[in-house]
Order: sequence, then structure tokens, then C-alpha cells
Amino acid sequence: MDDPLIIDALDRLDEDEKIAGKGEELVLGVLLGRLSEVMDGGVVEHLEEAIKRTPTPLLAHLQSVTVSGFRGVGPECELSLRPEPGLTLVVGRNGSGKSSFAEAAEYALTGSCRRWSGKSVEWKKGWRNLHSSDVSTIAVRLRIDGQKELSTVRVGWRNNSLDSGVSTITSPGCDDYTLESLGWATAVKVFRPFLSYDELTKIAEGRPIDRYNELAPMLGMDSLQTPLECLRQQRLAVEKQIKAANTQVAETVGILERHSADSSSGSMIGAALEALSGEWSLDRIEQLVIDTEIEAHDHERLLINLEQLSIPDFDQTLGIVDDLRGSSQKLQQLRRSDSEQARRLAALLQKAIEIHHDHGDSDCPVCGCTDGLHGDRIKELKAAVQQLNGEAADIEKARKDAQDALNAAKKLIGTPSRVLKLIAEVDVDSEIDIDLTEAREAWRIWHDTPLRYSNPLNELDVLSKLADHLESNCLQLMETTKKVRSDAMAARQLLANQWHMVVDRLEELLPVAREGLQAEQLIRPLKQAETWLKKCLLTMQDERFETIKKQVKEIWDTMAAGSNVTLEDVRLGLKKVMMDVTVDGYDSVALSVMSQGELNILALSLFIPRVKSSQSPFGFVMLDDPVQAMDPLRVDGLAKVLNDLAQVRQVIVLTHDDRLPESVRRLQIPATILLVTRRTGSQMNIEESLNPVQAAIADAMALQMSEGLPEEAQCRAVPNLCRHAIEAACLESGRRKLFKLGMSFAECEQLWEKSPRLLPRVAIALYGEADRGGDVYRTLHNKFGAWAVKTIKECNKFTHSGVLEGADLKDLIRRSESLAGKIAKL
Amino acid sequence: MRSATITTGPATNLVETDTSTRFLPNRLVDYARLLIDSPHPDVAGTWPRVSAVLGRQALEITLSRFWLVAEPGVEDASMRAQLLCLSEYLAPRLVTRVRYAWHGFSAACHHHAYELPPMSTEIKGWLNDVDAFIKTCDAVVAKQTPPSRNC
Repeated sequence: MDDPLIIDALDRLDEDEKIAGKGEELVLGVLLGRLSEVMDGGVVEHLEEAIKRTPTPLLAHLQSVTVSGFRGVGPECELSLRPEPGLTLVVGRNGSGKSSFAEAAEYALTGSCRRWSGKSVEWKKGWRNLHSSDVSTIAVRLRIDGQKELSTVRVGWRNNSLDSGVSTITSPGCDDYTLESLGWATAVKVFRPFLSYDELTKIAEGRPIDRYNELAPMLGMDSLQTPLECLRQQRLAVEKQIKAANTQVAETVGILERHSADSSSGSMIGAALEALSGEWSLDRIEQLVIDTEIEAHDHERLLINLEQLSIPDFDQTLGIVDDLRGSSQKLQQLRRSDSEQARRLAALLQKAIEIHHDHGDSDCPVCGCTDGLHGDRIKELKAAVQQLNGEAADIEKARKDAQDALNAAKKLIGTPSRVLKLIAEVDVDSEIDIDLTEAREAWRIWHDTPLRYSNPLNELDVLSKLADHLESNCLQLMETTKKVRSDAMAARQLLANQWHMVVDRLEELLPVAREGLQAEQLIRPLKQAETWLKKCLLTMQDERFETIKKQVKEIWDTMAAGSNVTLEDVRLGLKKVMMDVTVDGYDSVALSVMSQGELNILALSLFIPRVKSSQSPFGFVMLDDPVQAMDPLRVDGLAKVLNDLAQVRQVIVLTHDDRLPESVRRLQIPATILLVTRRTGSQMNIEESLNPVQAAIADAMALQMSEGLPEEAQCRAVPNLCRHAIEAACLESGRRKLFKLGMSFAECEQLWEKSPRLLPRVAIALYGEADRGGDVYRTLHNKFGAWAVKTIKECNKFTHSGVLEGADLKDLIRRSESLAGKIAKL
Repeated sequence: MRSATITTGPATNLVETDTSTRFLPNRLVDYARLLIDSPHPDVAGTWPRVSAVLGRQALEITLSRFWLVAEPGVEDASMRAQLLCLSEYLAPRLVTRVRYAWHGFSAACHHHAYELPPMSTEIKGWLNDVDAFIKTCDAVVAKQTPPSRNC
């Protein structure tokens, strides 16, 4: 946790009493990058110890950028720089490969290159130089404040894929440095010290949101935009959950309501509906899901009974009908016979036979006829007994058969009570949508037998009537009952399906509804957190912007001198940058009225305060061709702005033509100008054009040679320029010396400006101390000889009074140049 | 404003005509203006600093002349002291102008870490201040009498 913005926001959260509870926890969570934990109900602690507060970061300056086989650079080439504040112009014609150095440095230090982002694959493939053999490397050497030795960031590639690049950082005394351990992981995002022309123009050519997106990172609010977006997404997700739950509950309620009308378990559905009205009672729903299983069972029983209604077997019925008819016929035939009479007659005759047997021949004991009991007659009687017994047995058998057939028929018909009760039950309940009318009628008829009105054994035709009854009604009964059975089966199936669907529905609903309820509890804190963070971001943005707004306006005013567009105010919204401008005094809309050059200036105005920020660890800034699309007046303005920036930053500007260097020379801005040339085979050459020392000497030479100024004036001006050269040399080597002594560059500048005279300045160069001016002559004499002392003295003296006419100005310039050169190398 | 083209060295019309009739400070101011108004290609880049050097020297020579008449001996004091004393002898408005001009020139003459050279309009303003000072000084010298201490 080293992002100053996040830390600032955390502090504000601590102090703000208005936000508390879950809302505060959510903000804390999202700021610490642990939102999901808080969403899941966890508690995230904000430990003061975890925060690395770095009030003044250690500034890093660039010593060199060495590149080989990368982009425009073939064989290894080094861009050597002075690791201190100051302006360096890297000048080279288009295609000289100068931008490759900026891209290399950017890639090495940030792991990406903005100029390539959003470009085609071909563009990215072109990273490797065509003329290089097989080795591609980048080495960026850095001087980091407080470290005596240089650190090196090196990138090497394993294969042809740009992404296979591996960064290693070496720093004496520290083994495993990474960009993170330098504390740069966040810093490269917030203070990214690279700006290419592409990036500048994106602001002008893109849509308004693109402009904002380009401008916003420049304002360094990214690290808060991300958590805010995170909260927003989270809120949207939670709202979606709530909506999903509401929708599903509404759908379920609809289904339940429909089923409550046509289903047999209305009470259960009613309970479910009640549980889902108003505040959802999900536990109740869960209970219902369990209960409905049992309820469904009860309900099914009735249908199962209907399903299992017995149906008379057709063949059996026909058999019984035949039996009934057979017995009936038999009995009909034997109608006149009386088995009892036959049996008793047989018994009587048997008795007569027995009497004859015991007592011999006699008259008939019954009628007294003489033809009574005697031998022949007994034989007849015996036959008659046999006949009569046979008759009786026939009748008995017929009766028994008839009785059996009747029993079978009764059994077949069954007891009416059970079936009728069942059907009546269904009728009363009427929960089941089955038409029982026909079945009921069939059964009524079936049970309405002739037996109910007469005794079949006494009225022989009843048997055949019963047979007719069975025969004529059994088909109807069977058909209607079969229909009831299949209807019941279908109803049971339907019921099962319906119930399963409702139960399934409720079971599906439960988790979603639970999530919804949970989400419901989160939505308010989430909204609260989002509102708070948004407000915090805006406040911080305003505060930060207030301090840079002044700079922005200053830069604009300097660079846009002469423009008819006046930047009145720059304001920031959450997703927009509002610029109040007037054109010739009339209000207008900023971006639309600006020329390309002016837009670039605006982008620069916003970029420079960012890299100037005291929180940035980057002591350097690389600008790739900001000069394009600027007219000469603007270039002068740019030169001034760059010079101003160079007071606190090592400014490296890559530019493709001489406009900026010319402006720098003309305005006598101290700058190192490096010329980049590229020969065939991507062989790069970088040589220094003119540094401030050389520039002053060149000026002096030009003045001395000039025919444009009287000698009298030359004599007075040349010594000043000579002194100037020596002073510039003193500043250069003095800075080096002071840095080595551990002084910050701000302290160096302070010391320098506090010592306006030449001798103390030479003393700074010689000893790193300003107050040893008294030792200067002796040291110079010993080190370089008497001429050096003489030169200093002359520069000092003649600056004010001028040299005598006729004096050898050339010699003074030559000596000054020589001395300045020696001092610069100290 | 003088318009002059300089093709050869000191023998040009401007320098020639003025050298005999004008004092050194006037000439130095002239040179400084010349550099600003019609810079020769050779000195195109150096004019601000050289103009400042010349302007400053014109100012300092005039100041010495003034003290020789007004209060002999003060000319040996440090510039800072001389400029402070000046308010005792001249109108406060002029004194302020002279002081500002000197500090402006002085700053332009030294190598500063980052400060930009003055703008041409600034230098011209200071040169006008020097002109005014020279005029006043001329008047004082012409009277040959020191002005009253409290004028």
C-alpha cells in the first residue's frame, strides 16, 4: 500500500464521521483491494503499519539509455545523459531513430509503451530492429537519490515476441530489485514521465470520452477511479441479483396463483403465496417444500383408489351368465318334480319294502288294495325307489348348481356400498376433474339386480333375468370403469407433474431469493460507499487540481501567447474535464475552438504539472516531439515552459527539426543538444551539439568576429560571455560534486543562487563549497597554471569595465573556453 | 527609434556620427538598442545578454559621473550602497527606475541555473530608464553645482 491517493482516501475515510458501518467497511475493502471479502461478510482491517508513507520519494535521474536491436536502433547505441535537472534536446530528422530511445526507456521502466497501445499487431511485431543480428537489449541506467552507485534496468528478449521481454534491475548492494521494490509500480501509472506526440494528439482527435480518458491519467486520479468503478460494478451486480430475485418471485407467485385455482392443494399454495407476499419468509417456503411432499401423498390416495377400481372379468362374467342360464333351464325342466316328495316317496316305498321284507306279502298298507305288498310288486317298488332317489338327486344337483351360479354372480356384482362410497367421496370433494356420471350410473345399474326384488330360488326366471342383467350391463360397466381408472391415472400423473413443478419452482426460487435478500441488505451500504468514494474522489481531484490549475494556466498563458483563445478556467467533473475558454472575449466551448497546436499545448499544460509533482519519484521526463503542429511563437513558449520544467526535472525532449533547438539557442536557455543521425544498417550516432558552456563560447566568438557591433561594445560584452561560459562549467561540475556529497538538487540550486559571484562559483566547482573563494586562485594556479588565474581575473574585471580596445579578445575567449572545458571535467 | 544598417565595423554612419558627439554611456545604450532592433546575423542569439551588459555599463558609468559631481567619493562604494544613497539626491521615481534597471541588467549578465534572459521589451524599458538617468545626470553636470540634498 504505497499509493498516495489511496492512502489519502483512507485517511479521509478514517476522519469522516458521516460514513459508518457496512458502508465504511465497503469503502475500506475496495480501497485495500479486498472488496469481495467484505461483500462476503468478512471484516477487513486497515493497518496503519501496512501503509508506506513516502513523503518525499527518492528522485531518479537518467544516466543513459542503451539500446540495441530495438525499433530503429540496430547495433548498440547509447544515449548518454546528465543525471540531473536540466534540458536535453535530442534532435534528429524523422526516421533517425531517436524515438526508439524514448520507447525503449518507457518500455523498460513501465513494461509497456503508450504509443503502441491500440495499434495493430504489425506495429507490435515491428519492435525488433531489422538490421540487428539476434540480440535485442535495453539498458537504462539510473542515478537514484541517496545511492552512490547507479542502478540499471535491463530488458532482454528470449524470442521474437515482444511480450517475452524480461526486466531485471541491478543495483549495487541490493540483490533483487524489481520495479515494485523501487516503489514504481504505482508511480509509473500515476506520474508516468513519458509523453509521445501520439498521446498528445489522441486528446485532440478522439471522442470527448477519449479526451477525458487521456487527460484523466494525467491528473493521476486513476488509482481511485478503479475502486470507484469496482464499487459501481458491484452495485450493478447486486442490483441485478435483487432484480433477478424479484422477477423470479413474481413469476413464481403468478404460477402459484394459477395453480391455486385449478389444483387440489390450494391451501398449500396459499401458504406459499402468503410467504412470498410482503417480506419474504424463505424459511416458511423451505418448510412448505418439505410439507408439500407429504400433502401430495394424501391427495394421491383417492386417485389411487379410483385407479384400482375392480372391473368384472368379461369371460368370467360370461361363464357366470351361462351357469345361471344353465341352472335356470335345469330347474325349469325339473320344475314339476319335487325332490322332497320323491325322496319321501322313495323313503315310503323303502319302508313298504322293508315291511314286506319283515312281514311278507300283504295288502297295501296305505290304500288297502289287495294288489299290495307281494313279490312282483316289491320288485316294482324297488325300481321305483331307485327312480325316485335318482330324481331327487338331479333336483338337488340342479339346485346346488343354481346356488353356486348365484353365489358367483353375487360375488361378481360385489357389494355396492364400497364402490358407491368411493365414488360419492369423489363427488363430494370434487377436487379431481374426472367425469364420474357414466360410471356412477353404470355401477348403480349394475347393483340394481333382480335379486333385490325376488328370491331366485323360488322364482326360477329370476336366474335368467339376472343372467340377462349381467350380460347386458357388464360391458357398459367395464367401459365406464376403465375410463374412470385411466382418467384417475392421468389425473394422478398430472397432479404429480403439477406438484413437482411447483415444488421444483420453489426449490429453484429459494437460493435466488436468498441471494436477493442478502443483496437487498448490501445495496444501501454499497450505494453509500459509492457515493462517498465518488465525493471523495471529486474533492481530492478538486484539491489536487486546484494546485495544478494554476500551473496549467501559467503554462497555457506562456505557450499560447498571442492566441485568441483564452483559457479562463479549467474544471474537473467525474468523467469530464471542463474548460471555460473565451475566444476574443466571447465564451466558447474549449476543445472545439482550439487548433491542433493549441490542443497540444493544453495537453502539455495538463501533463507537466503531473510530472512536476513532488510525489513523483521520477526526476526525469521524456517528451517525444511535442513541437509538431506548433507555430514559431508557440515553440518559444514551449521552450520557456520546458526551461521552467528543467529547473526541477531532467527534461529530455526528442524533436525532429531545429525549431526547438533554435528557440532554445536564441532564448539562451541552458540546454544540452544531442544530434542523432542514422547511417545505413541502423547505425546510430549521437553527438552533443552545444551545451551551455559551448553555447556561451560560441556566442563570444560570434560577437568578437561580428562586424555588426563596434569594437567598443565588443570589448565590453565579450568578457561577460566568457565569464558566462566559465560559470556554466562551474554549475555543471559543481552540481556533480554536490550530488556526490549527498546534496539534493534543490539544495544545489539554493547554494548556487546564493553565490552570485564568480569566485564562490568556481569554489563550488573545485571543492563543493561556496565559501572557499579565497582558495580558488591558488588551486587554479596549481592545477592548471597562471593563465587560469589570469582568465578568471580578467573575466571578473572586464565584465564590469570592459577590456581596453585593441586587447586580444580572441585570446581571452580561447583561454576561457579552455578553462571552462577543464572545470567542466572536474 | 533609430534605424540603421550596419555593414562594416565602427565606421558606419551611426557609430561614426555619434561617437564624436555623444558620451560613452549614450553610445553604449545606442549599441544595446541597435542589437535589439536590428540584430546582425552573427549576433542573433546573443543580443539579450550583450544588450544587458552594455546597458549595465552605461548605467554604472553614469552613476560614477553623477557622484563625481554630486558627492565625490561615493563612486568607490559598492553598487548596492551607491544605489541606496541615490534616493537622497534624486526624485524617488527616478531612483526606483534606476535600481530596477540595474538589478535587471545584473541578473541578465550572470549565468543562472535556469532563468530565462530578459525579453526585449524589458531591456528596452531599462535602457529608457538609463536614458532618463543620463539626462538628469547631464543636467546636474551642466549646472556644475550639486543639487540640494532634499530635492
